[in-house]
Amino acid sequence: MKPVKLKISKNTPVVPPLILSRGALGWLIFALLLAISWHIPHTPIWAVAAAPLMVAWRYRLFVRKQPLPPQAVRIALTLAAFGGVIASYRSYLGRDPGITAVILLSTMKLFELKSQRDFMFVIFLAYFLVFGNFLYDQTIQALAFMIAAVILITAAVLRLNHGEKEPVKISFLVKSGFRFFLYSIPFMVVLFAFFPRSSVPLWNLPHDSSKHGQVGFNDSVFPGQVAEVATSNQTAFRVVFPDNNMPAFKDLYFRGLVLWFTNGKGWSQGILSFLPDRRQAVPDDILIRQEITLEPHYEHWLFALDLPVINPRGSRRLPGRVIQGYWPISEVVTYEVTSTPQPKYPEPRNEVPRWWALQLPGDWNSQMRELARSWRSAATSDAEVVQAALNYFRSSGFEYTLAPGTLDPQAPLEDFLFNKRKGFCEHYAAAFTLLMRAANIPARMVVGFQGGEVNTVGGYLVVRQSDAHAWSEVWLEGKGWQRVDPTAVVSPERVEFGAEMSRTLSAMGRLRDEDRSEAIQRAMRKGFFEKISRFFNDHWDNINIKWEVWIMSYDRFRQRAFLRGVGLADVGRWSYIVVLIVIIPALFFLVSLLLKRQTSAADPLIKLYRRFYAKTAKKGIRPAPWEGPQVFQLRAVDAFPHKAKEIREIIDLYINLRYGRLPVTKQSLKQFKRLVRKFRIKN
Amino acid sequence: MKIYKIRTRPTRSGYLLILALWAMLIASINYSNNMAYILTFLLFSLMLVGMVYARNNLKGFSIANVMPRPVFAGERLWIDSELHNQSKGRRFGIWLAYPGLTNPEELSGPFSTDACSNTTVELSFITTQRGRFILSYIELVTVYPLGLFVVKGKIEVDKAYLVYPRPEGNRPWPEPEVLEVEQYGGEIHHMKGGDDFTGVRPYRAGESMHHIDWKAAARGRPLSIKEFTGGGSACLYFGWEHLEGMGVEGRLSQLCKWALEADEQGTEFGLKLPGDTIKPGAGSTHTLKCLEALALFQLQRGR
Repeated sequence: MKPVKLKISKNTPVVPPLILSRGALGWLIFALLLAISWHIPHTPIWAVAAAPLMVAWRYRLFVRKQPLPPQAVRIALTLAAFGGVIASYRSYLGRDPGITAVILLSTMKLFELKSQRDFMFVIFLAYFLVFGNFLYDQTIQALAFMIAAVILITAAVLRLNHGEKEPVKISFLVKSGFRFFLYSIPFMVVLFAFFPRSSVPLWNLPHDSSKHGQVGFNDSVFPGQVAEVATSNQTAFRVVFPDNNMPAFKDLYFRGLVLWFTNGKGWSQGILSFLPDRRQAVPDDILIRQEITLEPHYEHWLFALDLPVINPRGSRRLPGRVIQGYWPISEVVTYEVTSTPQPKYPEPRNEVPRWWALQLPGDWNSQMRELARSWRSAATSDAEVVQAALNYFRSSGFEYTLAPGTLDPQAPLEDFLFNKRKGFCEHYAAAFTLLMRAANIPARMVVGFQGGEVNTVGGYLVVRQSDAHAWSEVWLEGKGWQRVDPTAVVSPERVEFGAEMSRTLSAMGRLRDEDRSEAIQRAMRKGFFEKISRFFNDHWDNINIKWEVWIMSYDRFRQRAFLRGVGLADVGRWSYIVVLIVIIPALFFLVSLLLKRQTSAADPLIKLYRRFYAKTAKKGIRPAPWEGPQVFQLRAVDAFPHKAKEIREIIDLYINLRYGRLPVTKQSLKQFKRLVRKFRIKN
Repeated sequence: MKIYKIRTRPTRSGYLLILALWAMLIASINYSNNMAYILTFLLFSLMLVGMVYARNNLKGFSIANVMPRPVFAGERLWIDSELHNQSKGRRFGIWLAYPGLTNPEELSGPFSTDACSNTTVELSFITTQRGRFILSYIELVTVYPLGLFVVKGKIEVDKAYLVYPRPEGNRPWPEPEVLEVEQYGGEIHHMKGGDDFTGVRPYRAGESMHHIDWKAAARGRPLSIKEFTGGGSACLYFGWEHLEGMGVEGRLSQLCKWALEADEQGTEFGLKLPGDTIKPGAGSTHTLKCLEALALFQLQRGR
């Protein structure tokens, strides 16, 4: 009789159907809400409220086995969501509207779970929301959240594909998710270290408006427009001095930008920022190396200790010893820069036309001009004019304060100099520079940071936004550009002890000198709790800088250094793609071995039983898959009659242990092991 | 019967993730955002681990005691079998497919098994035509753990199963035939109806001792059987020739239906097929024999 064979189609693209149990849906919703939760701070309140409501509705419908809303309702809801996004942001493109749209879309998708793919689509949206979080936040906390989220979202996937309708233990799912995460770490690390980096963005970065208008450093100065400066404790950058030659506190001037142009009210860079500067360091300069880890500020400029002589890689130098990156700093970057406090060969003035450093506004204030002229006529040299100006600031009752109030918008500097006489670094530097130019001394304004706080754990300097500072530079014949900080004359503690101290003192109002020094002493003395919090802050900051230096600012240069470190010094672009191809499969193989071992980590009893029948198998007698030990015993005894006693003993003991007639203890296992080991079949 | 061929392929979700990862990588490069790189690479690695895991999810399986239950064409055929998990790991989300399965709803499962244990599983599919078929293999399908890869493994079973013709048709039963009983001594009795004694015939080995004509045996004659007609009608034959004007399958369906009706009523019946005649009888063994004959009609020869 010849049977009819069924036709077999070779390609059956079959994926098991979706089994949407309560557990699977619950896990999906949990994973999604977890991913959404991190976006609450930067999502409109209506979207934050809508997401859990939609989700709750969906779950309720499922639990009550009610039908889903008709398609028209779902389409209407989706349109409403997009309308809401556009109404909130006036745009549907960009980071914030994009994230909000994904949040809403993912909750809508819950109403359309027809296949396994729909479920996975929501899962991918959850992963994507975790990904989107990194566009806002790249701290260690964000990483910790990411790890937790990936584990739990993966657990939701496991719950679905498990297929069980009954509840599955949460601990099992979380543990499995964690195991998957652990196994994928090696690949991740290798990819992270070896994946070729470039510093060139593929397309222009969207300008991030929320980062602007922050207190601290700015590229233009308009004294008198702001009544009071709020101080931000955010870190601007951190500086490591690899040669342990950190200058004295009062010399910690970090140069940012040079402002050349004024209209009498404010100062800005002007068009000069595009002229290059190609001078090199001189061998006998005192060199101070710095490794600066800069927080993203979405502009081009880089900071360095006065005066930078060796540029960071991937940067250019502009007139006024200003260094800039080629692209906006949208990421934490770490760069090395070398400065010299006293350059042997001063910057030649002729690098820019003389009039650039002498430019004065057209409608020029006569009172200030008179003041400058009076200094000029009394002095024999430029240096004496500078001194006269500083004396003026020192002796005319000027006060340092961060809350100077607004100045007359028509003539702010005049109002400051002759009426209010209250201000902070910007006011002093702007007024001083203008006065110098009026006295025919080339002058320019420099903005950057001054001071900082030494982290006692890591031994590096933390410079915060509140340390932002402005000062002045004048050209003195024979000496070159010289730094003059008029703020230091008015408030010496600003420069000697930092912005924090000057703030404390300015809050006390006008003080006599002895009171002032006492106040400084008092402020320097730290209480117990301050010490404790300082201790923790320093440690936490130290962890953060390690994180930022090694992970967040891992770029082309760091990658090259790393490759050199592992002996791949001269690999070109192509050869380490080869490395990618070799190392990743190798790791892949390793992990698959690991997984294999894990599935064969056996019950010792079964392992021993296997060892036993491996011995009979050598003679051709092995238990069939469906054959229980009792039946096998009969067969084995038949095959090896001379070993009948041993076989019976072993299999009986196995049955008793395996099926619970005897307790499995260390001793009984040992006995079983001894029997198995002794068992031998001779020819 | 062990698993012999394991194939792994990405599911559509898998392709979707690859697409998403590509987009994430582009975004990471553009923003040169190292955290974004980390997550992208982490998900990629997770995918690879998931692939290895999915492959391992089918290792160490075998199937035994495959028992198809006979069925009528057009009905669902149920095949019981025992799934053995010989590995030391618990297994989840295992589905069974028969050869040629194309509709995912037809997958049987999901099944979970503990380490080193057996699970009774049922595979089923709709049959379409009568005959004897061979279930050449059973395919195990899994997407566990991550649903990004579908892994399929074949287990050869080579199990024959029988599909009876679809019981169909509404023709009335044919008239019972006048039964010609060959009796010892050449006498011919014409009997009709009733559950009376109809005659004797030689004993054949294996027949019930109940109806042996012991009196005749005591007289020294060879063993013979006393025959009675049961169920009220005599010598009912469901014959091919009663169904003039119908096609082969139609006739078989009608015969099948008659046989089932007769079996239900307990009526003795015989079957007359071209080239094959089954003598009247009753009981499940007889019915099954008839059904098998109908199922295999014209299939034994040639095809």
